[in-house]
Amino acid sequence: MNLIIRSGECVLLCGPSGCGKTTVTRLANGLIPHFFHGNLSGQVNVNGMDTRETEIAALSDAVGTVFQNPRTQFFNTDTDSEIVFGLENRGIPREALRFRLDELTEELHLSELRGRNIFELSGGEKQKIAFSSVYASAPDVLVFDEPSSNLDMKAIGELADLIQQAKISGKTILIAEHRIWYLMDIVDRVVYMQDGRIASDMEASAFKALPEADIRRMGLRVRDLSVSESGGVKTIAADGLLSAQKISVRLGGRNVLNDISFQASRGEIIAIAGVNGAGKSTLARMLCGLQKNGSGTVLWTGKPMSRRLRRKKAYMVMQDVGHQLFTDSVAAECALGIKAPNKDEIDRTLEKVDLLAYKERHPLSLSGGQMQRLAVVVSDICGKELLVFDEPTSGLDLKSMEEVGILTRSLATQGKVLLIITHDIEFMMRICTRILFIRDGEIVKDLSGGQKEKIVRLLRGEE
Amino acid sequence: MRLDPRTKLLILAVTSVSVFMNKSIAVECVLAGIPLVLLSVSGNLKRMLKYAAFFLALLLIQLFIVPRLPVTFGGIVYMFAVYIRKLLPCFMLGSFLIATTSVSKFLAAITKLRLSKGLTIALAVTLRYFPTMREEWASIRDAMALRGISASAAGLISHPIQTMEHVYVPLLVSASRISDEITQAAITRGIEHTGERSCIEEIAFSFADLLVVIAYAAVVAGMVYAGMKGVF
Repeated sequence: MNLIIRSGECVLLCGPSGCGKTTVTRLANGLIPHFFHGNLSGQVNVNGMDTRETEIAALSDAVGTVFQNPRTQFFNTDTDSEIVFGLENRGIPREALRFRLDELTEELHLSELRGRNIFELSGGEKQKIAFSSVYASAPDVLVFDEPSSNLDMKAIGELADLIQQAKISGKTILIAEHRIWYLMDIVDRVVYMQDGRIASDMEASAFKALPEADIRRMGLRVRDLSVSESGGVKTIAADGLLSAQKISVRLGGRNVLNDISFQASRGEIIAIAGVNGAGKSTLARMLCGLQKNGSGTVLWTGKPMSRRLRRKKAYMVMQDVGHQLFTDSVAAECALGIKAPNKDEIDRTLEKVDLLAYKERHPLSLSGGQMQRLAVVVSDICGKELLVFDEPTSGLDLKSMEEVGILTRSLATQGKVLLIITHDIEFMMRICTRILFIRDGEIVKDLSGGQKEKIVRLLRGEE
Repeated sequence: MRLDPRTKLLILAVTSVSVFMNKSIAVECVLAGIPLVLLSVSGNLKRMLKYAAFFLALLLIQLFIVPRLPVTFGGIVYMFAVYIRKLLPCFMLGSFLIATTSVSKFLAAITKLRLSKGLTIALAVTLRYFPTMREEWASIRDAMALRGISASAAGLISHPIQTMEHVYVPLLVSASRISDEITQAAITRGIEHTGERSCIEEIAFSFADLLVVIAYAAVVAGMVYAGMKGVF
């Protein structure tokens, strides 16, 4: 591929998963060939430096990178040291460090984040610190590799503001991203990749003018959240199979959940939405019987379930699915913990989700989507009836998101109760039948049908 | 009290060697006592109490319970109680090092030791990995609970190999991914710069470092003396 990015340009790299956009970011910041080895032919120049001939230390002065996972990009426990980390690497004297720290605090509005413990920050705040730390060293080029994957809407808004500010100050910006809606008013140019090639390269205005159908065909996520069509509107007989009553959890002297009550029926796909820290995960852990120090009752067909019983009835498909696959083959994974595994039933269940051919493979060698489906198969074999998904679509392209949609719908048809913790508006609108919006540990809105559209404003904090 | 990271590394090294050379229980109590003091003055009181209780329990098992057990079984219990207890001071100092040292300070201090860049980065990434490992471990334990696999001590004793496999496989995979990601973030932020590193916080040996070093010199001297005289 050939690509020239002019100084001061802001370029969005998009395309389906595996199209090579992350590889392009790694070529730009020098991780290829300095960290990832392989066969590289051709030439990459950044700021006039040939990346192959230049030390990565010198490249890092010119290119700063913000990565996807906020949890694995910081080195210090306190925010102040973290912001100046890159400057310390360059041996900038202490007085100058302090001066630059104050300067940045002003420029990027960081006063609330100064002197804090990073482990206690939300994902969005961590990402803001990661950006500040990269920005502190004043690189000419900024590279972002799916920076919004783990963020809620409000945090994405703040990230967008930071990128905008970097653009105004004249940085050259390269962003690889699946979620493109928040970048539409920022980028100058959109490069669409497919199978390791640039399939189209256009001005942002031309990209914005493309009809919606083209965007779908390209496998891209929506450019504007308000056009997410509302699906999943289906009348479901309310049977109140699952009922949560007065659930409260206190952790570290704070009410994380406050008197939450709701009911759920077979066949529902319920999104649990809210900003990071609103209590979504704690609610999920409570329903699955994983959370200690909680009060309230969880009933199943009208009977209260103990914590132990909930752990038997419920299953959580984690964001990091790798954490819940324990054995060395797909077949063994399905039989794990079952006294007398029924081989035929396992085969049938694997067949249903196209995994039968991978029976002998190591679970962790499967693709993300396959691992997710394997976790679901496992839950089916264990006879779980309440399934909680934690961010099943974060960092997924359109096709993979739709596959998760198909999977959840088929589970709902089988009569399971599904709860889905998610920030993904497109997924909520198209797949979920109902949205519980949580704020400060309380359910403040229970939206279904046409009301679901309100979620965009709620998540932006405008209502 | 703020210790220099180099002092922390030094006492960790001294302790790691001493616990195996030492034969005296009195000296062992001092070796365990100093990290307990360090943990409590650095504000990790809860952790300190846990370690202290564990150490004491293992000591009491050796002194009062083992003599009353049948010889073979007693031998097994003795081995566990004594060897785990001997390692405790190292664990305590390790957790003290991780809890109280920021990576940037650690890096600035050890670059002054003029170790190779590769080793320095590896040490820093390791130090940074531990808190994340705790988060990963919590989520693996949740996943195990939902599959009805026990990660408790009872599970470990009844099916040791199986339980370890279920913990280690996901933990190792996540460890290699996370350390990879941390390393990428580090090198794109210029950790490979060869000049001397600066640090926003002051790094210098203080009176506290001197005190701790003297204390450990005394422990080593005490250990040699106890070894010669055969003190309890």
